[in-house]
Amino acid sequence: MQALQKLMTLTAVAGLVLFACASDTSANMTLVQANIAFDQSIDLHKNSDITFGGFQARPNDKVSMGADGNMKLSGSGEILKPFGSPSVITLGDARNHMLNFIPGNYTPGSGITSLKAHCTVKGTNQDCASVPLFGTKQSTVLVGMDMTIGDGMLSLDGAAAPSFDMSVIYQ
Amino acid sequence: MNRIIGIKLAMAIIALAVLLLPAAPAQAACSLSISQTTPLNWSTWQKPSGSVTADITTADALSGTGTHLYGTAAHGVFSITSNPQCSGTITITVADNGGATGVTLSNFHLVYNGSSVANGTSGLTLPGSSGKQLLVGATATYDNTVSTSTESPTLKITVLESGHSVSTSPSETASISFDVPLTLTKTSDIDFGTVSANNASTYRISTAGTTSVVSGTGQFFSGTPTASSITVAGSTTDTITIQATGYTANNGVTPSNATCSYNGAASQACSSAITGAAPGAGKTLLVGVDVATDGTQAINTSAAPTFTINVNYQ
Repeated sequence: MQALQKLMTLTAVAGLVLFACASDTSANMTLVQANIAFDQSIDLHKNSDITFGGFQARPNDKVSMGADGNMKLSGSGEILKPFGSPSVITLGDARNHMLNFIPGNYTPGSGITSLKAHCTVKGTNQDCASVPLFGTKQSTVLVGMDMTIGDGMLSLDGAAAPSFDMSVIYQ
Repeated sequence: MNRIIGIKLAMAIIALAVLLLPAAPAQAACSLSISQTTPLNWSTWQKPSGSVTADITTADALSGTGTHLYGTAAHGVFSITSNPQCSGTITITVADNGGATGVTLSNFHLVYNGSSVANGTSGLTLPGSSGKQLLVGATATYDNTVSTSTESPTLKITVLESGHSVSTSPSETASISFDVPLTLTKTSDIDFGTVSANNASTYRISTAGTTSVVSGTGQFFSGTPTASSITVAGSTTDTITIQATGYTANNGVTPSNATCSYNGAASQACSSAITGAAPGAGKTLLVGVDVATDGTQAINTSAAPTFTINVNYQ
């Protein structure tokens, strides 16, 4: 009986050895993983655009309005109404995320030669255009801006208002 | 005295008779010849770290403990002829005849005149002047002393005719080549970064790592998109094929349409095999892909669909 078992074992081993034939080609493969994560989009709603207060500007004057609506003028012009209205944007639920606020696509016009936006998330004192902020369940973003008056006359009617984009992205 | 004259006369008659007899034709010798039609060729095998074998049958089936890399192997084909002066039968014996460093030949498989015969078989039919075909396969045993090039082992085919014990033993040259195996080293997987949850869309990442939305309203939110990078190394002479297969979905995300950029070439679809230069010490393969989300992906979840990049010698 043992001899028979031994014979069967040897036969099986011989079969395995015979089965170990050379492959036709040398195939090499590697598994590629395509990682992708999912999150909610940032719900963003613009409630109002920026409205400056009254001022009388001279060419090359620089007019600034903070996110709090306070206006400043550098140059020879004069501020007539020191408060304006910052743009108000509400953000949806962005908890557990760091948010980057990126102004861009500045489009001068109507005698405005340069623009620079700055913003604050209500309840914080940080300039969100410079520092990432933690998202909350709901946030209100106030956006102000600096602008430089050009050499020519300000066009009041029929001209496209200067504009820019404010992007909010997950860090 | 008369007797002496008689004897001389008889001798003269005999001599005259011998001179007048027509000359008999000289008996031609039995002659055998062997000519090679197709050399025995194992094609290209992986240079081993120890002693291994490569066997080819007369039907071109490959086996052995070595690893076949690429190329088309072929059994040897020889034509044996004999002239009409040969008689009896023949014996065919094939033996290793040296000639290649690190390679020896043994276990010859012979098919003579359409029938399989053992090495050294006697009593085989004379090939005649029209000749008969001899097919030869064999086992090549080789070790790590072989060079990564073509070796030319030789075999001696001895044909012995029984009628006159005439034989011929030419040395025939075979060939077997050696090369290094292909290796793939993945430097990075693909990373799409973060996209819209609960949104059925198709996203694409190029071999340059640039993302785009192919269809749907999904968006890219964050992260640093990365294409996969794989270093391919191997032969300095043999070209390769690259193909993406085995697309496997995960968490409702299905990959498809892989693109490949090998050795700096333009990106191209590689779900069907594409070709590339011999990789040598290492060339970079960049891989992009599309992924389709079915819209069931919840916030703060992720998916890792996969596919396989296959690289073969041509």
